[in-house]
Amino acid sequence: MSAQVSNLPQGAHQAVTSLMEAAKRIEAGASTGEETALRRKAREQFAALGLPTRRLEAWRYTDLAGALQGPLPPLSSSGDIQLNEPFKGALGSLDEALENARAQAGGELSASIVFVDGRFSAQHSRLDKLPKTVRLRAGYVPLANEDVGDGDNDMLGSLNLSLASDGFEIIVDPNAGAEAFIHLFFASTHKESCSMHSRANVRLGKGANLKLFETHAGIGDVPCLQTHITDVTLDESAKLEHACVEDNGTQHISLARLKARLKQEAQLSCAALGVGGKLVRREYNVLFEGGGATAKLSALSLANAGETRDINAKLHHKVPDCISDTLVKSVLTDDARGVFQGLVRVEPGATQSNGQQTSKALLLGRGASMNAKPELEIFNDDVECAHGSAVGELDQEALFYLRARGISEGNARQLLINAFLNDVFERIEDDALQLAVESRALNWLEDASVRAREA
Amino acid sequence: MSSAPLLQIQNLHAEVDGKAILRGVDLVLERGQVHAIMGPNGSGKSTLAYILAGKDGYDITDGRILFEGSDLAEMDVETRARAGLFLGFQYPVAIDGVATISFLKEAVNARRAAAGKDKLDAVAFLKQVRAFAAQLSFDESMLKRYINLGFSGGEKKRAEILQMLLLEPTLAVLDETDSGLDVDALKTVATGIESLRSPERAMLLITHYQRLLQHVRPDYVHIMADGNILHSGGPELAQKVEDGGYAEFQQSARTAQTAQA
Repeated sequence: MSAQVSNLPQGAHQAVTSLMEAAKRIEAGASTGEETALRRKAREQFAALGLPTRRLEAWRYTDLAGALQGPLPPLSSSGDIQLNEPFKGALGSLDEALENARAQAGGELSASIVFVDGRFSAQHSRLDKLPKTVRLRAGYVPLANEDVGDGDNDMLGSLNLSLASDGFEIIVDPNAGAEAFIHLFFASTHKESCSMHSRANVRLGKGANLKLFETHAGIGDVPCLQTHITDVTLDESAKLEHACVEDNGTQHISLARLKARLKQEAQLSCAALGVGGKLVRREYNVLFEGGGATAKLSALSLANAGETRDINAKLHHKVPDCISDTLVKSVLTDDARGVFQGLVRVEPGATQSNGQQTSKALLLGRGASMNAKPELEIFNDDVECAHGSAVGELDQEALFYLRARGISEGNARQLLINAFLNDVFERIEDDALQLAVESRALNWLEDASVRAREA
Repeated sequence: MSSAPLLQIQNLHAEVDGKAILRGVDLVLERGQVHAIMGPNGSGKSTLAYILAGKDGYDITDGRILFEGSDLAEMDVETRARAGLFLGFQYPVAIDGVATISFLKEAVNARRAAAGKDKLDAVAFLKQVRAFAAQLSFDESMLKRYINLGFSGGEKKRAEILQMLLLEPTLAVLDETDSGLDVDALKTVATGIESLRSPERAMLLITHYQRLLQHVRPDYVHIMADGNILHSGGPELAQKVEDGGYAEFQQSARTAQTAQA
């Protein structure tokens, strides 16, 4: 590991050192020999890989090492957090933020699972209305279902597995009648630099339905690295609708991955809003294993000065008749950076595949930049795939037209940006989820730096 | 209400992207008057309209414009609109994703707020929109669509007039509102314009042809060419243009210049 680490900037070197020390401690304290072995393998893989450099295609536009500015000890590794202690954190009004998120989710929540600084908080969670068809385990690390890594260069997978301190598992029984609606809340309340690592398994039986609303909330400017991996399996005709709002503190780095295996006729719909945090990177890794399955991915990247949003979507069409549809919309002010890398891979046997990828970005600052790289790897002729990307600025003619009718420049800009984002909101089928994502996005649009004309 | 004329344009010189277009325009509009500006392509008519509305890239290099006695150059685009200046666009912009009805509501309430009036409630607003839409034979279902998106040329112009009726401007500048309209649509639009005529308002109709002026009879007609008003007169001037074109006016202007020299 030394060769990799020593080339890093000092801040990144300190971060990696603190992470590796913690990983060794976790490994030593593992409760079973199996866990120790798994953790060790992951740690060694991370040590061998090191932090991703921009020479790696998947990290070409996002400088993770440059974003790490010092030690990031995992908060939960030392066991010094007592979950039942009264909540005291930088996020003074956790309860309020939580209530807001719950209210946004509407009145039909089956459960609300709360993680505070990466640890499950039974005290804040509400699990009493969960239907009997849904089996939930929270507050443990679901290691067993995870292979180490996703490939040769999987820094995120190995880092997360070596350090994960908490997580949950949701299993919905086959043909469970009513749709369950579960809220996941990740609060960052730490007062010192730290990291937090969690994992989740979500399994939907044949014909089962689930709605997941995931919110990440944090305030302040304490450096933090968060990794979170969700492993989804949808059996035949199962349907998962997932919406995520990442609204973290200004020095928060969030690296999340959602891996999904889709069986026959399964439907996956994911929407992600990245609105707060120094770096929000979300990876989707979707594997079509059964014919007729669909995956609809929608992402909204909203960023201000000094922030980066990175969406990385891989859709692997292994079997015939599947549909993937990815839409990423970015609004970038000041010197914000947006990234979209997409890959639709269609295997020789995956005939009648349909894969769409679109990235559109609105640059509101002279220093703002967008890198979009949608790619297709197609190994048969019987497919319908398309990709496109566009980068533009606000339409000055439209802005003038609105202002000439008495609408203030700020409101006119807001109307036009909202119009730009509209089709992403419309892709979110569920009303409660749509409202939750839309209201947070519109709230961001009211921010002064979005409304103001570039100086 | 101030006693100054509604609009005074004094020795106006203006350029677009650095190119001189207007070369000393003088024009006064009193309340209650309807003026028409006619002229060939490239004469500076639309530039004058954009200068009045305050478009970026259209710069006054000399002279000034007073609106109700205040210097227009000191007011930004939206302030002019809220103060009662309305520009009917020659080419209304289509705006994907912004519903016409919510745009109209925002615009009306911005104008009302500037006049110290309360916001219209949703019911009263809708009632008013529907009445004007019916008057203009403007299909109500269009209001749910995005601004001007997929509208025909005639529908766009009706939508402009609908906006004008809702906003009740004190000065309406209509830039070639008659272009692209068939005979029936022209009549409908003209009736809409005429219905706004009142002793408190003035209108400036910019047009190539006299056919709109047959329906909305102006008090004064000005002939513009090469960035200047060459000739002013009564409504009979419009007929003269229709019969003999602009050449005669341009010719006599050149003769006058030569005589001065």
